Amino acid sequence: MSKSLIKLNNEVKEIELNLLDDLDIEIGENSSLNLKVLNLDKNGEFSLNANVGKNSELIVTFADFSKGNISLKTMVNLVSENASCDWHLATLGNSDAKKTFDVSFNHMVGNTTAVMNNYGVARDNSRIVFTGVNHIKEHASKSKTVQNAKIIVFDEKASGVASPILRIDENDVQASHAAIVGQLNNNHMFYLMSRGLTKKEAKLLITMGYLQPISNNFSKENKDKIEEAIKEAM
Amino acid sequence: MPTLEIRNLHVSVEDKEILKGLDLKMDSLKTIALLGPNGNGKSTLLQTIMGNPNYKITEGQIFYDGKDITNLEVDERSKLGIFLGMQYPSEVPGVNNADFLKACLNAHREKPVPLFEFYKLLDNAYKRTGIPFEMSNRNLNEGFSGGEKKKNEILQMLVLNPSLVMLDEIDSGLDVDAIQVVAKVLKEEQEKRGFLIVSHYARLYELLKVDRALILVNGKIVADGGRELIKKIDKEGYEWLRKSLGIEIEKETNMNQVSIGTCATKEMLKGK
Repeated sequence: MSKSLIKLNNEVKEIELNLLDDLDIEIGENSSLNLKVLNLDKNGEFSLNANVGKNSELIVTFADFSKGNISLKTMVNLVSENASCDWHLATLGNSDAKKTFDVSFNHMVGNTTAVMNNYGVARDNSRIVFTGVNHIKEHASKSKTVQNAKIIVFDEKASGVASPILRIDENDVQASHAAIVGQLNNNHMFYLMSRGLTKKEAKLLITMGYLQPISNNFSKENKDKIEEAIKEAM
Repeated sequence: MPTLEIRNLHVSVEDKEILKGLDLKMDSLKTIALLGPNGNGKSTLLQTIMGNPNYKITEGQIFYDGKDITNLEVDERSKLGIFLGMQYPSEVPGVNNADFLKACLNAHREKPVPLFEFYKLLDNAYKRTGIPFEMSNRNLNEGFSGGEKKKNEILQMLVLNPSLVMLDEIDSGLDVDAIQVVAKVLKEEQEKRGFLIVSHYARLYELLKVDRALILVNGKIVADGGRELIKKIDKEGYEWLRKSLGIEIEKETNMNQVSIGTCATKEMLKGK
């Protein structure tokens, strides 16, 4: 397994990757990294570790539309003041796939921000698990941390677990936490079908509506690939 | 030949029987006003004709244009020309209004609609319903006001061009001006399609040509007449049924929980 290192200091970078390797990210001061990862075919276990420095931001858009199993462990350390991380993840589980995303953030000092949005659609017999800990450490006051984890379970044998955890060891912080695992909304299905869409078309439209927004962050080429991957999966 | 024919329809929702042997024949291009006290089966009837799987047909049959549709999938009913303007249109996150309309329109056609033709159709529908065209880019009903949702139902009707339009309290949530707009569109459409309209207010019916009025009580049609029925009920309420027809309305013990604007059947079930 190869491992990549991305290093930034006093610079702004935008990187779009079509492959998934273990990744180490070192962001120094006054920098911004906009990282986009599209995984269409790799399976296995991966890690992503990042340190974000003073006045720097890390933006991650992670789209996983691969067919098999995947386990991703991510740790983002917000090591200096005004460090922030904006994390978006979308994943689609098919057939017997097991997909686990453990996404954690450490607020090591005050005035740091982490926003996490994880979205999943579990179909067939697949299983999607969202875990992770957003930890606001002692002395990290005025930090803000947000966790959103949402999974739609499409089929009877599919399953989802969304259990992100907040750990807060300091006062004067902002933290919010939302975890939802729900089934496909029958009222939505009836509404769409009453306008002439078949069950399959209605499901596709709902899935697209749920997962496709992430594609807006990608290049035109990858955007098309995401749309294709969703259509193919449905 | 009647467009819609219903024979001895029995329908249950979560094991509670709502429709109890309902018969109805409706000719094409006619407008029927469907009246009745809350919780007596009006919405249930419309939802069942559309094929909502939550409403279980335990007995009886529904025919449309001579075809037995009792067990037909919801989308196939739509393709036959049946349309339901819902009382509570769903907000579907992430689904763009225009994309949705295009997908629906294409579902009704063999070849996909050409872009220009679609745009013209959409533009016309937005103008007629008085909805700003920019709203075609919003997500389906998401964050729409009650009135906007209802107008969006009428807009979908115009785009899909159905032969039978069922409207479930389309006028609730509309302000006076919006009712005028909606009634104007409906009136213009009455020559082209049949309407089965549920409303609690005489106002909407007054603005339309009504061929027939039916009263649904205790899961059956108990009165079948003309406009005069609407006037009677508007003036005297459903008490009139008891006085002149000797019909007692089976009251649920918890009916007093029901307020205007909530689906009485749903409320009744909640109280079970």
